[in-house]
Order: sequence, then C-alpha cells, then structure tokens
Amino acid sequence: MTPLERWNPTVKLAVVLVLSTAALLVTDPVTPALCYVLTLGALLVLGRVPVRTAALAHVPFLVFGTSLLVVNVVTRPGGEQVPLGPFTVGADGLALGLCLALRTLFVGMLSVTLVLTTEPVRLMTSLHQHARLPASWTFAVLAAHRLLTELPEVWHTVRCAQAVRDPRRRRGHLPRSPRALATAAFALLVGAIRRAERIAVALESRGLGSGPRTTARPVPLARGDVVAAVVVLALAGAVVVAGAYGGWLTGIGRLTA
Amino acid sequence: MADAVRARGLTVDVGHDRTAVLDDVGFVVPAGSSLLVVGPSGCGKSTLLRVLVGVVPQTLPGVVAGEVSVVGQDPREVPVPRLAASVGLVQQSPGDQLCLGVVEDELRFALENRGADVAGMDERADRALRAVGATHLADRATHELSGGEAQRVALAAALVTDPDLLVLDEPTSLLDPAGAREVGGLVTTLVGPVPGPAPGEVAARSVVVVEHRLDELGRLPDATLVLDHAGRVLAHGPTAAVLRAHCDALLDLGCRLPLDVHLEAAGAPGPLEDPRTDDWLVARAAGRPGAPHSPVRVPCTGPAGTPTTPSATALTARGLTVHRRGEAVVHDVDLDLEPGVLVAVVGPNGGGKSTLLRGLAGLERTTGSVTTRTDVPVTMVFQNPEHQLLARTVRDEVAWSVRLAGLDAPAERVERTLAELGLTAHADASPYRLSGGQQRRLSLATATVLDPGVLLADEPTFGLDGAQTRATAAVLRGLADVGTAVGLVTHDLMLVAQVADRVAVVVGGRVVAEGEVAQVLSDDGLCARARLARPPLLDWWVRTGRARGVGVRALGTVLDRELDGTGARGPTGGPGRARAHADASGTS
Repeated sequence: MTPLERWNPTVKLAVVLVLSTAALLVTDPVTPALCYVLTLGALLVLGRVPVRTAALAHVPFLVFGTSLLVVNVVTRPGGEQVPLGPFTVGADGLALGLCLALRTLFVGMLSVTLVLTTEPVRLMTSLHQHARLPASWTFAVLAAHRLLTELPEVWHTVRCAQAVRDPRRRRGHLPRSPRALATAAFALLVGAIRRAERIAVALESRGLGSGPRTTARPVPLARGDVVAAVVVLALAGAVVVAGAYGGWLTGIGRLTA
Repeated sequence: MADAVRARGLTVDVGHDRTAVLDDVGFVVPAGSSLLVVGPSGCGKSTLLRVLVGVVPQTLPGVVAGEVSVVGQDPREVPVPRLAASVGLVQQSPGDQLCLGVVEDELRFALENRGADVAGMDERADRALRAVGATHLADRATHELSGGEAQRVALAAALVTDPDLLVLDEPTSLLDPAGAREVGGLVTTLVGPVPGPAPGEVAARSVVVVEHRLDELGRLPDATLVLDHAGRVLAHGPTAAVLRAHCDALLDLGCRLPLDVHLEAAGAPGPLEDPRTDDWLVARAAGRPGAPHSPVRVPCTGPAGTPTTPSATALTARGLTVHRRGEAVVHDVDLDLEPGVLVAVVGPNGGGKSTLLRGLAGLERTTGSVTTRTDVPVTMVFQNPEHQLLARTVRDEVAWSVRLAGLDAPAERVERTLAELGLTAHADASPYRLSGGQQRRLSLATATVLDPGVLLADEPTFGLDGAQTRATAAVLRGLADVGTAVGLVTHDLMLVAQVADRVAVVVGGRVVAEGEVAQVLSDDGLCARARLARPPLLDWWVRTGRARGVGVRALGTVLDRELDGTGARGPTGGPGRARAHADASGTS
C-alpha cells in the first residue's frame, strides 16, 4: 500500500473536507495554484498514481474550470485593461476567473486523491469505527456503490434495447435526443429500484442491523495518521501565510469590492 | 428439537393493493429435512419464502394471517436481521445478493453482523466456501464472478453462520447449463448436521427450495409442496409420491417434472437406461414432428406471405467484429440468417453471444460488413423485457414501431398481434404491471407486429416456467415458419433441439462451429469446450436415439400427452398409467 492508501480514510476524508472548504475563502489565483501543485505532487509521489490516470482525471475539471474563466472574463470588464491576443479583457475578471478555475482544479485533485487512494470497504469500515456512523448506513452505501459500478453497462443495454425499437434507426448510432435519453433513464430507474429492493433484502438476510457487530479487519487509527493530517494542514497554513507576506492573498471580501 | 417450519392456514396478501397470493397454506418441515416447493409462475412460491424469512410483511408490504413458525420463532414478530441468525436466504439473481466488492468480505460480513468472534472468522469463512466448492474464489471481486460462481458464493454467505434453515429461491434459474448443474447438485447436500450453539452439540439443518429445473438438482428434496395458480396447496407429501400421483396436474400447471417421473408419467416401461425404454422412445418418436430426422429447409415465403427465392439471405455478416469500450469483443464472424431458418446461438456465459446479436442488429460499433435486405427491418428482443419499454400502455407499446415504420392499417395490425400473443385483455394496462411471462409476450409482440424479416432474440425464455417457455418457443418457431430469419441466443439445449434448424457455437467471441442441430449437439468435444451440459434426454438421443433414426426435434414433444392419439404409444403402459392418461386426455 502507498502512504496515501495507508492513511486512515476517516482522517483523510476530514482533511480533504477542511481543505476544500478553506479553498472557498480564497479569491486570488496564486494560493490555489500552489495548493494544486502540492496536491498533484502528493498524488503522483505519495499515491503512486500513474501520470496517465492523473491526466485523464483532469479532463472534467479542466472543462469546468475553463468555462468559469471565460464566464468571469466576459462578465467582469472592470480593472486595468489587459491585452490577450486579439482581445482586451478586464484584469478583475481575469484574476477572479483564474482563481475559480485553479480552485476547481485544486478541489478536483483533492477528490481524485481521495477516490483513487481509498478502498471503499476500508473507508466505510473506518467511518463506522472512527466516525461512529451506523453500520446499516455504511453498508448500504457500499452496496449502492456496487450497484453503481454496474450501472454504465445497464445504461448501455437499455439504450440498445430501446434503440432497436425504431425501424428507421441507422447502424452504429444510438439515439441521443433528450426524449430518448429520458425514456432510457426511466427504464434504468425502474430497474435500479427493483435491484435496490433485492439488495435491501440481501443486506437484512445477512443479519445487518441485528445488534452489536464485530469487525474482522479493523482499520488502524494511529498517531501517524493524525501527525500526517497536522503536517498537511500546517503546509496549507504556510501557503496562506506566504501569500499574506507576499501580498498576493485576497479573501472573499474582494468578490463584493 | 423444534420443527424448521410449521405453517397452518397461512394466507398472505402482498403489496399496497393487497393482492391475494397464498390461500390457506399448511405444511411442516421437520428439522433436518428438505422441502421442494413447485408451482406455476406467479403462484406465490417466492412470497412463501419471503414470509419464512420475515421480509414479508416486515421489509415489503403485505398481510400475513394464520399460523407460521420458523425454527420456533414467529417471522412476523422477530426482526428480519435477528431471524437471519437461524435462517439463511439465497435469492434468484446472482448479481443482486452480493453486497460487497470482494468474496471474503462478503462472507465475513454475515459473521460480523452477528457479532461473531473475530478469531474464528477466517476459518468459518473458509469452511463455508469449501462446502460449496468455492475456496478458489476467496479473493475474487464479486462483480467479476460468473453467474454460477456468484450463486455459489451467495450459498456460502448464507451457510457461513450455520443457520438451522436454508431458504433457496430458484437458485439455478438464471444460470447457464453447466452453472445450473454445479449449483443444483449442491442443494440437497446442504441438509444435515451443523455445529450447534454449544460446543459439541449438533443441530440439523433443513432446506426449503423453490426450483423449476428439477433435473439439475442432484437428489430431490425429501418432501414436495405443490401450489396451484390460486396459491392453494394442491399436494404435499414425500417427493416421489407427490410427483408421481400428481404428474398430470403438475404438467397442466406448466411445471417441469424430473425426467424419470416424466418418463413414467408418459408410460415408459422403465428408466432411461432400460433397453425397453429405448424401444419405447424410438417408437413414440416416430410420427412426431421432425421425424425421421432430415435437415429440412422450411419452404420460404417472405414476410406477409410474399414468395422469395430461397437463396436470398435476410442478413449476411462477413468478417464482423464488434467493439465495446474500444475493445473487440466479437471477432471476425461470418454468419448467414436465411428466411425461414432458425439459428440458435449457444455458448458459455460471457462468450459474446449478446454482443454478437447487438452487432448484427447494428446497435454496437462494428467493423466488417452486415448486409440486410433493405425492405425488412431487423428486430430484436432483449433478455429483460422491461429494458425495451417505451410507452404507457400495452397497446401503445405494440403500436410504437408500427407508427415509426409508417405501415399500412396500423390499428388492425396492432389488434391482430395483441390477439395472437394473448394480450388483448391487457391492452390498456401499463407494461410495467404485467407478469414476467406477459412482459415476454409483449416484447415478442413489439417485434412480430412489424412482420420482421429478421428477428434476433436474446435469451427470451430466461426466468420463465415450463408453460411460458413452450409458448415462447411456439412463437419463435411460428415466425420462422412464415419466413422470418430467426437468431436465438439461449442456454436451454432442449429448446434448441425443439425449435432450431441450425446452431452456431460462440466461445471467446468467435463462432467456433456452425451446423445442423443434430451434428453440433452430438459433438462431445465441442459441447465440453462450449460448456454445453446436455440434459439427460438429449444425452440419450446422442448415445442411442440418433442411431435409431429419432429426429432431434422429436425430443421436445416425445413425452407430451397431447399427441397420444397418434398411435405411437408404447405397449407396456400399466393400468394405473392408463388411468392417468385417461385423466390427461380429459383435461387437455
């Protein structure tokens, strides 16, 4: 197991939540950029996630971040005029857009780190052990997770099954009209509800919720897990302090300024 | 020791609308014995099991009246998870009852929930896996298991806590032939002594099982309970006696019989290995449809009765490769579907049969060529009829494709199809409200209403009982007989023998053999390679019947009673059997 995989999942989740929330309070582009670089470094070095996987995981956040940048540049013309290729844009919009885009990347990489380095069963066991979540809740989530992993395949089957009903269809094309997708989504939902009922029966018939339970593979929570959390938070604090001294740090007051 | 199950005057309504399901059901399962529950689809077998484990009325809505006690506890009062300490449940669908990602976790999960001692857990999990021959699966991911493997793991997860009663709801119904035999053979081995609560004490485990595929159960349970359409007890007693005494009633209900009972009921002079039975079967097969065997090509007429030339294939695939998620799943397939010919596609689970069908229907990304006669649409029915539903009523559902295709006289066409498939009475119902058998007929109706040139069917008899399977087989054969080219993916080799003209065997995404039904099914090496476990009657045909001129298609009807008037009766039917047949002819 890599250091990030070994890290107690409850502590890791808590740190990710704290950092994500804190990132909302920052409105300059440099701070989230530094945090993003540090997170990416941790993901690659301490999580030993292949570069290709990390690159692919960027795609949705890059798309969303770019759209945030564009929207802010277009809608906030104020501040110094900055030439950008054939256009001239406002510095306010550019700075804020960049900040939001980089914040998206940073929070995105935090979640990617959590997802790629945490085994679902360990996370749920740990949440039950250390965050005192009821077992009926954590195992329902795990069962739902299993259901979710099979949904893409069912979705494809449903779309094929409905597409074949159209005698005028073209080979190799599944309909993408909102109506076709909505009908397929309905069939998917009906199937998921029927499956969820069977899974609920299975969970109960395995005795989930019958009383006090034991844990065969407890997830350890040691001093090291807490130390790691303190180190990460201290590092984040150091980035903020550096920003304050360097003069580039701004808070949410700037949004209303 | 308390009986495993005692029920008296058990009457059950389920759902928010209080549908009556079971009516005055009474039976006892003594500790250490096994009970088989049989009956037509929708008779309440599954509901009975759900009452035994407390799921009805505790988890799912329902009203349970009468007396019922399971291992000395009232399943209406004791919470389901607590009752689960003494009652293990295995459901039908292998995919929906494994809750966790890894097999070992799944087994430990059941023990953890009961607060079992952590120290002995791994050993108990091991023992349960060993009992079902699945030790090699311990560290596998549950979503990668085949149906048969998943079902064995589900059995182990039910066994791991050493329950006094094991409740099995059609554990083999969704498995391929080899998988069904693996799991079915285990069922009655699970009855017997289990470690009791105190060290050294031994309790006796009981089993209650609902199952259609009786030939796949290694040994039949001790007692049998037969339910009729109304959810009443038709018979209850020792299995051999009940099956023999009520064989006609069981066949009328659409239930399957184990082959030896079925032979006896049909008047065979002895069991299958008996030379006299050979003679009797051969004589009886003569004069049945499909005999003497010849590779007949059905005279071809196109859809709507227009004559076509026999050489014109309805669909031709050349070098067809089908891709899923950027990977080739089906490789380089050459296949012709000809008008009037039914081609069965068989092979192991996960071999690419369904993907091949979707490739032929033009639903997946393919390379190579698929050419169809342009005037006829390729239709396809999927394994799960609910996946294909698009409309709010049964009638609209059938009319859907007709409207899109812009066919003449749409209303007439729709009404005719509804009548042909026995759906007229349900025409205004919601498709989601139909029973499994009705939904299957609806999915067939949505295809047949177009008079399709090509029909592809993906396991259309999946989860159906005997009567519904026969009805579906008749529709498919009927379509082929009026000139439709039919491609049928199935695991049911008796169905193949009964309706198919040709067989294509798909293993590992390739068509490894294609030929006449008789030739393919009698190839032992090929059958082993493609995990085609032949049912006993088909096996008899390969060893004996074939050489004596019995047509493979005759196997499907050789034991049917309706054709007894044809003079092919064996000479040795005893007086008791003569009476049974008199009864049968009275009811059929």
